[in-house]
Amino acid sequence: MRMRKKQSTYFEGKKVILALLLTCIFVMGSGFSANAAESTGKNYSTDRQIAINLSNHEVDSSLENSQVTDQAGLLSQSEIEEIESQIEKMEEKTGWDVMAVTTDDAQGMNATYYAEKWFDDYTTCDDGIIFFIDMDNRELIMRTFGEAIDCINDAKRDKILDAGFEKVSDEEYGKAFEAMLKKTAKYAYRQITPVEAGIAFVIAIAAGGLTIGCIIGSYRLKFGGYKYSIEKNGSVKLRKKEDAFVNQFVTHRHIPKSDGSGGSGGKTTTHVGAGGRVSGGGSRKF
Amino acid sequence: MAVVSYKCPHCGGELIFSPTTQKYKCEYCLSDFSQEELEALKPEEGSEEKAVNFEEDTQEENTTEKETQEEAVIYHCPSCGAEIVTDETTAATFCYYCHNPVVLSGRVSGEFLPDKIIPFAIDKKQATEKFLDYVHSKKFVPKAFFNKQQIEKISGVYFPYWMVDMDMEGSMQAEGRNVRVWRSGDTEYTETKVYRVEREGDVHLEDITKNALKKSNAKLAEGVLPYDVSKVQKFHMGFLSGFLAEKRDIERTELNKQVQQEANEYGEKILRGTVKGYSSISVKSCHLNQTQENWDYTMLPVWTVTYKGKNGKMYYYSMNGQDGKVYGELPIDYKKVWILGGIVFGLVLILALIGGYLL
Repeated sequence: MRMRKKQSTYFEGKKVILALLLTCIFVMGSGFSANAAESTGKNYSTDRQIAINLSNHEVDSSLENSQVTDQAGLLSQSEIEEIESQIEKMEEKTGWDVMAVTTDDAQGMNATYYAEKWFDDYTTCDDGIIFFIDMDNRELIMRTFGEAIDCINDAKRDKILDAGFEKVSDEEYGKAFEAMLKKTAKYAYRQITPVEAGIAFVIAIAAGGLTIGCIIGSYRLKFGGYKYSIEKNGSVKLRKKEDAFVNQFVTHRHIPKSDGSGGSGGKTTTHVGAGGRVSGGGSRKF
Repeated sequence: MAVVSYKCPHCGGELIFSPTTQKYKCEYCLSDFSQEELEALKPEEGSEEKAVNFEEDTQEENTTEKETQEEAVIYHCPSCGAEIVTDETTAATFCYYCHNPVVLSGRVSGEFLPDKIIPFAIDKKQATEKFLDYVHSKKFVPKAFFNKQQIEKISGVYFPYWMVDMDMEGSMQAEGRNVRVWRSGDTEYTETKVYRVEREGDVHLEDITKNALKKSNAKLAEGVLPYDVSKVQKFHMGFLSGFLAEKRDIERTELNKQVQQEANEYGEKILRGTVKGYSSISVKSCHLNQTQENWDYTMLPVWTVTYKGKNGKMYYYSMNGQDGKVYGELPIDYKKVWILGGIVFGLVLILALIGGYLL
């Protein structure tokens, strides 16, 4: 079903990642014209798709950066820089193409379609994610492609969208992208968060301290010493031994269904979208 | 008060109890005597002792004792007649001048006659080796801290202990619960069955051992416990020959309450131990009535080691004279301990970070 050039697993060798990286860098480095040329070079089967493709051409020329495209003017310069740096890091770690896009004119398309088309148009990379805030349809969208579909199942998708939706509701659009990227990063590649590092440090301090404490304590006779052994020195002759059943009772409770957030084994909903490409993801209306 | 010295019937040399052979040995003619042989010799020895033995000038002793209650008490050596200065609790020692072993028989007879004794099974040479083995096996003792030359003093001492056997009648009421959990669809069921548990019986406790000497460090004295009581023998003064010995100065009345309390604790544990097959037990009531108790005044063999550390500090150790178990505070090489702590910290940190990374 999936129209992926290569079925690569999430943990494939470095070579593949390197190759993907190089491809992405090459694509990005070669500038927008190459992207546009390629996207226009694709053969679309329906008239509708061609029409949309053409309608996007005006937008294409105004784009300088394929990572963050703020058509709706929702983001400040510092927010753009922050989002870019987050995206840069994720792309470097995963080899995906990651995009954050806003628009206030969806050109009559629904938000999901717009996002999928955008991703199709502006990258040649098989794998990636697009985060999209559509002010026209008032919708927050995330679409995943290729490897990212495997990586982000429905449960994780919901968590990512939840993180973003919270900020979008407060009209903090830049923060919404940052929150979603942060959550995605947690699932997309292995990393140690500052909180995890802090916990690790505390555990290590406790272990080291316990070791030192135990040695010093035992050398200074703080614990141990002689304990009377009742097993060896004690005995009993029972004259009466009664175990009488008194009563019994049964309690029950409902077990809430596991949401599958514990692992990556959860279900992933996908569909074939714009350009005939399979994508996963979801949206929130705001 | 009498002073006794055991003499070899062959050459008149001193007889000393040898832990390795468990016999009495004459260090001069190298003759060996068994316990029975020694006991057979005793009457002869006794009369001879009396001849050599100097009774103390009672008047003099009384005046000195009145002046200072805790003052040393003076005896005369049966071999050379020199004065032997002792503590109030000393029961066996050596003459300062002729180094002959002497037993202050008056202090181990009458009400102070010990019921039992476990003879030494380790001699001085073995004790020194075992002590050095022990301290050298300790990884965090400063390197080269212990060496044979610096052992200030190693002496074999019979220390007084009270060993108590106790019979009790016990009854206990408890509640036992068995919990079973199973799932059916989305529902988890927990079934709890409650049982009334009753136990009654006779509890017997053996050899609750308590230190019976005030001046000894209770921690060191009890740290060497337990002893293998199957080696226990009826007390005979001869065992003390060649060793130091102390008589008790803690009476059973002082320990009664403590022993009683401990016995109750152990008794309850034993009764509780007979309740099996429940996932949880809660004791509702437990009564223990003591029916019989037997206090044995027992002499136990301890090697005491005094070691002068390089830092000038004195370290005291006690060693079980039966199996060589050492007890005492050890000097610590803090640098080594901190390094180990650091290594553990580092390893755990790395493991925890890897764990955080993988999760």
